[in-house]
Amino acid sequence: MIAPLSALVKTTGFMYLTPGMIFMWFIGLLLIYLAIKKDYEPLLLLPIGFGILLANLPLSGLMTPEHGLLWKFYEYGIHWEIIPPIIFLGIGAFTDFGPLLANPRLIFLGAGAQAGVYLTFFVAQFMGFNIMESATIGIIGGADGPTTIFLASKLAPQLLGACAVAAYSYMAMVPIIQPPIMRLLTTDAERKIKMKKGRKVSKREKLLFPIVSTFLIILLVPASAPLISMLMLGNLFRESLVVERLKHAAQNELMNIVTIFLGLPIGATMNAQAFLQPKVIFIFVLGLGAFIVSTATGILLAKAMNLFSSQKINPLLGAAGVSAVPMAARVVHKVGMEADKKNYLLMYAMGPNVAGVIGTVIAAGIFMTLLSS
Amino acid sequence: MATDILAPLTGKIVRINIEPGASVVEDLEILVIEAMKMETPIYAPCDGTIDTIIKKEGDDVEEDDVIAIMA
Amino acid sequence: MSAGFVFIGGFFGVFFGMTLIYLSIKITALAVDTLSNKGKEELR
Repeated sequence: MIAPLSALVKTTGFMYLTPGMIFMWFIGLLLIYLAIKKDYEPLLLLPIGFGILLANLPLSGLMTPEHGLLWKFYEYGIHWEIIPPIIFLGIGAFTDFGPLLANPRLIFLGAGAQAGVYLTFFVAQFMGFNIMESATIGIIGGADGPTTIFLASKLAPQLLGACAVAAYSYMAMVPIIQPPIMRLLTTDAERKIKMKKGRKVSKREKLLFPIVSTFLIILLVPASAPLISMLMLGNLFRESLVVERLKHAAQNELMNIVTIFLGLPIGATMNAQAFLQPKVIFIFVLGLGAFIVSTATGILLAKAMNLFSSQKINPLLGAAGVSAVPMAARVVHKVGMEADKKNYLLMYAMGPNVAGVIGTVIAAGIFMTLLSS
Repeated sequence: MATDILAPLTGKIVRINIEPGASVVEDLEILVIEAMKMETPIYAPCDGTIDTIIKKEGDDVEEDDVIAIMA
Repeated sequence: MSAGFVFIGGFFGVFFGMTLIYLSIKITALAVDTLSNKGKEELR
């Protein structure tokens, strides 16, 4: 009588639960809570949180190679590099490069804010992460979710879950993390600097930009091609004005669909065994450091540019060089208005903000070129 | 002397707090523009009276569009 | 590939890349300007 009963119990998952799994449930539930109650990147953190719950239910087989449902999402969506480029197609369709074209020199702020990526790469190396892992951790400082996922799946798949969650949580926390650094590094007078109006950008220029920059960037960093090509194609949809339907599909339906298939398997990679390691804590600490350094170097570069130029840049704009679009630009706008309520920096901040996206993609492409050979 | 109230940024007017004929003082919040899913209050550029309002609530504005004219 | 090389190469690579984009914007702007002026002249 006892024997068949115990055999029956053994087919259930209860016998195989570990304390680690139960701990992971709490992490999954925490992300779900943050998504619902705090509105922290709910589009990503909600499915990731649920994915974490699923990954920590024993015997489900969802992540079994070749057979598991979520494994298939992961393999064919992320590992095959399909989903992050499709997200970039949508971002391209959303992005107005106008502010960037109107103030081209603000592009360099988008480059300056990548310093955090490289500094963190170096520090992570020093702390004993291998070179592939260090690059993946560094790229968190770019504050770009899809690029982080893209690079992690290429260089250090074992860190993908932690890096993705770190990147998206810090993006959601931009309004908390950035302002203290911005106030610390700028004077009140600097925050009050009003930007000189940019030049008018013609429709034709906006149309040509995605084409010309695709050529240049892909010729320069071929490894960035999957992301850049999709980003610029999306933007071409937008600026061509003749394929409204494609633009809308890229922005809405397609983007929403792949978002579902992105979040769930990322969460599912975070099983207790892989996630509960001391190095995950370091990833979160280093990622935060990367983010702070990127914000700071963007601001400092803006101040450095002011030394050499008569047309002063409001240094707050440097903080928009991290590619959390449009959160970083909004934060710049708000901090600028605190100093002078008639100082409207939003549109100027969008320039370095989208430049930051391109900068992070280039940085990721360079890592891939140098490390995968 | 007429002063134009210009849109300082591209977006959509979500609220207008003034009417033609109203007198305003500098830095009074006269309207709100929504851009990048964020509401930005716009303040009166100087003391004066509102002469005409050209745009209405719900209109999309480009940077430097004239929203209202002050007498 | 040494970490130092990746660090230096990557850092300058990003700035180099952004400079290229800066130039491409300038060139595009110049090309569009010239073309549109030419267009007006032809109309005259």
